[in-house]
Amino acid sequence: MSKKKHNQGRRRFVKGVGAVGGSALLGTTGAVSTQLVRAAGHSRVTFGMGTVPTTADTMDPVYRTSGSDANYNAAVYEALVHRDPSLTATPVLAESWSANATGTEWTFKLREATFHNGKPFMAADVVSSYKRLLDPDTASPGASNLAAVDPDGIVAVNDRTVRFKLTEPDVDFPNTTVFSQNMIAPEGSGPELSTNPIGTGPFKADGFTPGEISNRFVRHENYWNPGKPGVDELDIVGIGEREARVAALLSGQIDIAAQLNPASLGSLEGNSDYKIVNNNVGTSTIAYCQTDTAPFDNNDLRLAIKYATNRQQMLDLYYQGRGALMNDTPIPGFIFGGLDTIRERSLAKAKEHLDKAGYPNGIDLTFEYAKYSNEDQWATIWQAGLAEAGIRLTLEQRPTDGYWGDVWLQDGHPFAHSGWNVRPTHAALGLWYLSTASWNESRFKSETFDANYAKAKATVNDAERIKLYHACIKEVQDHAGHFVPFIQAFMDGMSSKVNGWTPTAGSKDYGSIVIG
Amino acid sequence: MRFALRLILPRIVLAALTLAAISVIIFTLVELLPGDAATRVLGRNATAENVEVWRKRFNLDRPPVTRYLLWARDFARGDWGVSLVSAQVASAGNPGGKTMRPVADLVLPRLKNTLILTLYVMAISIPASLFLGIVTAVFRERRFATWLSGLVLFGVSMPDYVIGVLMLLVFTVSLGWFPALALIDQATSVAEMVHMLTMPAVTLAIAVTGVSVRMMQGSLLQVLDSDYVRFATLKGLSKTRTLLVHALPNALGPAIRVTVLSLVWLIGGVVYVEVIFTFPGLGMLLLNSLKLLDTPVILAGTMLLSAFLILANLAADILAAVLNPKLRKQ
Repeated sequence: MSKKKHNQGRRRFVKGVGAVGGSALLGTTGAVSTQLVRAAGHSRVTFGMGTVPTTADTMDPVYRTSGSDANYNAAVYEALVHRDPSLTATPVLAESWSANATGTEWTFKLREATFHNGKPFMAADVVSSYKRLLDPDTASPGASNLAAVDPDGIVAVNDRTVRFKLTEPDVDFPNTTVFSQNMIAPEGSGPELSTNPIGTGPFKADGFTPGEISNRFVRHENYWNPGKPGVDELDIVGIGEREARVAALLSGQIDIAAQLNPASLGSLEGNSDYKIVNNNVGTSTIAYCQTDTAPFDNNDLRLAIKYATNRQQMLDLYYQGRGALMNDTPIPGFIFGGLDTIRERSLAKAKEHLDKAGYPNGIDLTFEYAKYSNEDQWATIWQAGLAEAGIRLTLEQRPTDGYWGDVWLQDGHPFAHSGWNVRPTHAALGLWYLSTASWNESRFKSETFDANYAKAKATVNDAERIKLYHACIKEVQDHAGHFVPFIQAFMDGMSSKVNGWTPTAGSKDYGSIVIG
Repeated sequence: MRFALRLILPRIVLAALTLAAISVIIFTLVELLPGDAATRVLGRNATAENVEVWRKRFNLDRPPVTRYLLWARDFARGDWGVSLVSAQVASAGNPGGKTMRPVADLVLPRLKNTLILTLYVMAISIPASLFLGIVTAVFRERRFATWLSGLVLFGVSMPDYVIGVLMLLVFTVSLGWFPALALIDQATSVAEMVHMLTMPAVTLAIAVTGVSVRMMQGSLLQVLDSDYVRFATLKGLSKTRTLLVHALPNALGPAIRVTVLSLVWLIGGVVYVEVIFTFPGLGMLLLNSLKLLDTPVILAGTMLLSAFLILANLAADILAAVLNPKLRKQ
């Protein structure tokens, strides 16, 4: 008996050596493969994110604020519904959903899943997670997304069914349950989740430390989706500098380098060991003006700026054409409900509107921005285009620390930079243009818009709803104080052996990453 | 002994007073900055209602004077307090998250990393500056010394981040000799650690060495031209003996001072180099805490650095006095 055991052990050992030898052989073909196949039968992917981890990072979904949190949380937790890379709602912890005729009551059928601590996932977990998120004492940054949810109207119908009562109709409600603050933790969880997270996601945390440059996540053996995750370990490393991310990818220390830009692709393009995955449903740098403040309260001035903006030149110079032209709202035509007409540049029309606004000799404006990446270049190119129409910008750079608290949205800063990831049409319109929206940076207020938007939220028929969305977008393009010349594509560089990863403004899907 | 006491005692008293004054200044400055930890962490989500609750979460709901006095009392007792924003790490018996993380727990590991890097930089920089300083001074009329001086000047003039990026491009991207990320917490052996730290250490050593070589060279030239060195030469002493016994000790003072200043600079955090090589050092932590307005971490960091600066200067004074016979006898 003991001899047999010994033999088995020996065989296993010999097999192991063979496998290690194999991976060492693979290693000679390139630096990359040695990193991916670190030990026989044990796979790890190292994800180099572009945000620098801070000590304020947290794995408690309700307190999620930073970009690094969003990366970590997506590995560990899941929401009822996720957004795929084109921002379409896809079922995750909910298998399916249905609404009443008016869209005020939503019923979600839940999947059978298991938490990392072995507890089965139940409707009660959904109810308690949402109640904690909506509790005013929590003051979750995610609560404002769920303004229409009545906390007392969230009911576990049975173990596998949960129902939400809304205070107003919302036919897009499932697409509102996707946010990372809405992720589901076991009933009774509290702030201990910050560093000791328990979710249903493909990976579980392996000793999470806020502010650590590298944090490790390991396979959740009881994950509900058979065959996932595709790797045993996921390391998320925060590398703030783009050049350093690319260098780390080239030296084989990371397998995916997130958030690259056209200037950083040089050493990856044309190298068959690496590939670049793009997603045009990306992000934007934009300008806004407060439409209730002189001189921006004059729509002719706003239109003059819109006509004078050289969109194509901006996209070409700023992002080597990698993105899509936009028509002064960050809602592209290629997502559901979007509208893809682009305003033709016309200096004659710009001058005409300037005249009408009372500035026949042009106008001098001060534009404020903070340099998070290359906003200075963006502003300089914009400035050059506008100058041709006599709109002379003075650029003022503000410190990035506290920009969102001290400049953005504040009185006395009527003309400034902002930026947004692309969001689904219904969410985008409600977030930026509704007269009651707290992120309505251009202070756009229109009863027609509000009425059309409310009607759209109650219209179940897709074609009818799209018509209403288009009316909303059209009005925004012609009247609001947003200046959005283009959106830029997301681009991640990775080893050509990595598959299943797409950069996205939607839900990050680490579970689908596979090697080979 | 009396000499040492006379030198040290008043300075220690002064040091304590200086530290207290610095802590008041830093605390006030942080208070004067727009926003607080709650608004900084919430960013775009900083609505009035959210901020109020988060201020309470972060223990910011008491008046500033009370917060400072509580901090000063704890600090005097050796307790650095807890971070405003960072949650306690989970461990056995402690589920984590419900309490905040001790400042020492944040600062000390980073300080350790920074000290290791500083040691490495000094191990390159001190012998290099001594050697280059002597060579460029003694052989000042030779062409190769002029070239060396030029090279040193080039090293001084290049900003450290330019050198860092160049090193990254050449030695990681093109040659593949060194890793891009200096994640020394993951190093499993000293050799691996040295391998990871070589690029940041050399980058910093280039920046640091240049200054001390120039200092060394300048003061050595002055000494070599002095009457007593000329007298030693006339007396018939060998060139080597004149240089090593008579000239060098008198020329070291300024170089030691500059080296100490570099040391403080290195420990205070070399943010650019930490960013380029993704090195988990003290500089990034302090910058990060300043962005988040995490006052206890900022205070602990500045106290530590100030104390270090004071002690290092004291050590430099003593060392210079010990080496310099003129000062010693006074």
